[in-house]
Formats: sequence, structure tokens, C-alpha cells
Amino acid sequence: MTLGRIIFNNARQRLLSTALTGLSVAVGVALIVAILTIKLVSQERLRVGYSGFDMVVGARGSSLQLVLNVVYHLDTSPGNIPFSLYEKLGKDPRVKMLVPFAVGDNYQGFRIVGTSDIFLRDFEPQPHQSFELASGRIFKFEESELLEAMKDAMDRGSHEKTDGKDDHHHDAGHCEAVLGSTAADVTGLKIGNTFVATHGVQQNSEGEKHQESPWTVVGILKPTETPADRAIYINLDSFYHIEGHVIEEKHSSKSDSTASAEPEPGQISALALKTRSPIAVWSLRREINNGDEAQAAVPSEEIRKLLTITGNVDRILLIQAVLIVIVSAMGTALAMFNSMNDRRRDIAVMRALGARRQTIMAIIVGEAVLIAGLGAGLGLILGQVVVQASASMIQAAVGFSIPAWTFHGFEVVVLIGMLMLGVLAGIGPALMAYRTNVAMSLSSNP
Amino acid sequence: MSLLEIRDLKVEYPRPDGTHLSVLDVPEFKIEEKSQVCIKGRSGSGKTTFLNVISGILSPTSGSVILDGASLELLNEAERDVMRGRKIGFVFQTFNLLPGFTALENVILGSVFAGDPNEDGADKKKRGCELLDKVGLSGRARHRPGMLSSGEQQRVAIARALMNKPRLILADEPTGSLDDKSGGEALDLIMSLASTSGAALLLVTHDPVVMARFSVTIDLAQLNKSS
Repeated sequence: MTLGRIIFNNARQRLLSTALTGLSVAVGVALIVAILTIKLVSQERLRVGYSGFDMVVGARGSSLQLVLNVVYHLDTSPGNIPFSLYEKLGKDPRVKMLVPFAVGDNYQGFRIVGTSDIFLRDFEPQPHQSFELASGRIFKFEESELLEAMKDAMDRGSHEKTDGKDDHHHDAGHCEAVLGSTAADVTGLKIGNTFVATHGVQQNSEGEKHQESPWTVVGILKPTETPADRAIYINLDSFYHIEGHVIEEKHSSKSDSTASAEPEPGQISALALKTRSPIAVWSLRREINNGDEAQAAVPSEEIRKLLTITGNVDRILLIQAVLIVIVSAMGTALAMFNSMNDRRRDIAVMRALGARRQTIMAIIVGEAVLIAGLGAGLGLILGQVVVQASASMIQAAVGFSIPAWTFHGFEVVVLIGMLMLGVLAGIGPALMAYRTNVAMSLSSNP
Repeated sequence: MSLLEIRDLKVEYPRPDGTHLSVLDVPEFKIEEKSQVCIKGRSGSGKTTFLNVISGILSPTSGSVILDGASLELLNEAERDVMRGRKIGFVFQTFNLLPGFTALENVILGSVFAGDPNEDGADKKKRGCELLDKVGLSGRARHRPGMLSSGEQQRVAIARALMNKPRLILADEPTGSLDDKSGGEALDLIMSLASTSGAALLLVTHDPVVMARFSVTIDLAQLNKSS
């Protein structure tokens, strides 16, 4: 038998008290683990998300909204920008990669993003990791066809404005879609299947369907563990072939929070770009922001602002969780204080058998540490269970996947912190045990 | 040299009026090695206090206690704890077994605090089992005190007292909580095991039946000048 066994036996002897105090520690630790895990994964995912672009260009308004919409497929588009800006930036020597975006439709709640093949070929959703196809191919995209489609759409728009009739038909052969992995899994769409988009960026039973414009699935992407998995990508030229877009734009209610302003002819939702040098980011941004056509936002800056805002909320939640842990440690101390009267005789017996005062203190502190350690261990597991239980909800809301049972390093700090808190919780009762009057306790009635 | 030697021992407690209450005043007392001595005394006569002073649990107001050549007053508290654990075995009236520990764990417990440092865990366990066997409880090693009868609990306590191969066994009314039959068996065990292990036995009691078993019985009232 060892001191450890004595500590274990003492804790087991007061099983209910040990279990309840350990459980209260576990709840506090679980909250800390859940909050920190979700916070760290979110931060990591947000950072990864913006690492693919140096800058996004979109309608004037909230720059954070623009970044969230373009990079993370969250929120609604703040508006549209002239298509000419795409052409202009495409010729700018400072721009290394330019990706156009047009948004405003969804299929079963998954956002449909009109874009170019450059996005699927050259964009890196994760650092140094381009999109990979799980099956099929990426859609066909021709820059010249986009320009032609844009011209057609503008002509069509002006024609509709004059007589209100629709006498144009689009080329259905261009309507190709590549699905993010989550979008493919949930919708069940396979290569060769067709689907019809619904107006708005979120699923809405009242949303108008573009019945006349079915898209054919030509490719399905491998999972990237980013919001990109939840999007459906279509070739941008086909977006402007859709007859309904111009008309629907006129009829759509601006008060509908799920609706997103679809680009009118001659317009585009946003542009995302990578520059050839960091200096180019600042010069381009200054130029664009000095004009009145659009605004340029740097994702890293916007995400930093967002993390500052959410960081304050995280901090409050974390403080609450830490308070719960401290209260549970106080509960442990209180439970042990209450038990000291009952165990005074046991302590006196151990002293009579040769145990030193310091040994008795070590046993009592060890018991508090054992309870805190068991609680912390259980809390670490419970915290991961909470994270996993909320993972699907988080993914549905923001598109971030939370990997199962990931280890971040803070768990060790939490565990050590809890053990130290256990030591603190045990010191008071241990001092009480230290002062036990052996002679008096031995002669008292059991 | 005697195993235990007491000289001019005084234990006093302060009174609120500034005077002192004398509990023990023993000018001289000796116990030889392997001897078996009974001290009789009525309740409240200071029997337990006397044993507590001998074991170093209680420090005397003055005087000296020399156990196996070591003066307790010259030892610090930690040294007295170790000395007590290694050289003295206790048998209490109310057994004082730890309820959360099995019979075997109760027996071994003292060796965790002050056992032979050359003995490892397996040796201690083996010795604990042997002692339980000697007190007739080899089949009850895994039982907790709550699952044992009073007589069995006292037998576990006797085995515990012998675990660290003590030089002196102090027994405080060891039959006081037992019926006549169990008390007799417990007394037989204490006396025989103390004898076979080579330990001296100092037993305090007010029970004439128990006193009658000893060849040497000392009246604490005569020994203690303060009474």
C-alpha cells in the first residue's frame, strides 16, 4: 500500500461527496474546453479562409460584410459593382489573380456562387492546397463568353426595360455546376444531375425558382474543411444567361433578409484578388477606395476586427467558465472541511501509527488534487463531447468543420491549473488536519 | 537497561484561575523487555493519558520518558512519530480501524508511515497476510471493518499493532468493547502474540478478569502521586 492508495481509499469512502464535487469541477472544465476549442478552431478557420486572397472588392458599405460574404459565404452581399471594374483590374499589372463573384441564389440553402475557373484552379482554400476534384471536372469557362454574356444580359435588360417582354433564350449548354463536398453530400446531387436555383442566399420556400435555368452537375470537390465546402459553384457566364435575374431583381423585396442583391446587367457582386507584391495591396486599395464605384477590403484586417469583437464575447464566456471552476474548487474545499469532523479520528489513528503531520497534510491535499484531477479529466472529455455535439450546428451556421478530438495544448494548461486549484482547495482542510489533537481525537467516542 | 523508563513524569493542565491541574505525577516507572504488565485504574484516573505520554502522542509537562534508550523529550515531533510507528504497537478499546480500508489494508497501514524501509510492498502485504492468519482472519483480508464483528475487528487491530515488529505494545482497555468470550479471545491473542514476537506488553484496564491474567499488576492510583 502507498500514500496514493490511502488517498484513493479516503476519496472512495466519501463517494457521493467525491462524485458531486468532481462533477462540478468537470462541468466547469468542460465549459472552458468547449469555449476554447470552438474559439481556437474558429480563429484558425477564419485565418485559413482569408489566406487565399489579399483583397476583396465590392459595393460600398460594410467592409466586414463584404469579406464575410465573399470569403466565408456568410451574410448577404452588400450590393454590386460595375463589371467594368473586373475588366479594368484584369488588365492591372499589379494583380496576380483575379476572381469574379456573382451571388444571390441558393439550392436547398447552399449558396450558388457564379465565378470563373481560376477560382477552382488557382485559389487555395487551405494554405498551399488547391481545390481537388472528388469526381467529374470543373465547369467550362471562357472569358470571351463571359464578356459576350454580359453584353447579352445588358442588351436583354435594356430590352426588358423598354417593352417588359422576354424574347431571349440562353444557352443551356453553359449551365454547369461544381459542388462543394458538403453541398454534394446534403443535396445528394451526383454528376450529371440537374438542379434549379432559388432566389436568395438562404433556403426559403417562398423564393422564386429559376425553373427555366437548370444547372448540370459536372464536378464534386473533395472536402477542404472550409466554408467552400458548402457552396455550389457555377460558371459566371451562365449566371448572366439566366432570363429571370434581371426581372427578379426588380421584383425582389429588399426587406427580405435572406435575399441578396443579384447583379444586374453590367454589374457583378464582388471581386477577389491576389497581388504580385504586398505594396500593391495598399496602392490598389487606396485607388479603389478613393473612387466612388466600389470599396476594397483586406480580409486579414477585417477578420482581425471580427476576432477582436468576438474575442470580447469569448473572454466573458471564459471568465464565467473559470468562475464556475473556482466555485467548484471552493465546493471541493467546503466538502472536505465538512468531512474533517468525521475523519478526525481516522487522522488521529494514522498519527498514532506513525504518520507525521506533513504526511497527513499530503493525504488531505492529495485527496483534493485527486478530485480536481478526476473532475478535470472528465471535464476534458465532456468538453470534447459538447464540441462534437455542437459541431454540426456550427458547420450549418458558418461552414466551419470542427475536427473530432483535437488536442490544442491548452488542455494541459487547464489540467495543470485544475491540479493547482486542487492543491489550493486542499490546503485549508489539510491545515485543519495538521492541527488535529491526536490524544483528544483518539479518546473521543467513535 | 529497561525497555521503558520513566522518571519524575508530570502532566499538568492550566486552569482558568492561573493554577495548574495535575493529571499525572509518576516519580518512577520501568518496564523490562518482553515483560507483560497490567495497570489498573478507575475511569478518569489518567490511564489513557499515561499511555499517550509513553507513546509520545502527548508531551509531559516535565520529566523524562526513555524508550529503548531514546529520551522522547530530546526528539522532535517528527522523530517521535517515527519512533512511535516503529517501536510501539497500539490496541485501542474501540479498535479504531479505518472504515474505508480492508482488513489487510488496516493491518499494513502503519508500515506505510513508519515501516521497515528495506521491506517492499509485496513483503508488507505478505507480512500483513501472515498476521491476519495468526489472528485467524486469513479469509477476511478483503473485508472492510463494517463487515466484521467486534471481536474480528479487535483481532485485526491486534494484527495491525504487530505489523512493524514493535518493542512495546500499548493496549488501552482492549476488551472494553467486547463480550466476555470475544474479550477473552482477544486478550489471549494479545498476550500470546506479544510473547512470541518478543514485544513487551503494557495493558491498562479496570476489568478484574483481565487483571487476573497478569502476574504483574500495578495500581495507577499508587503510581500516580497526583491522584
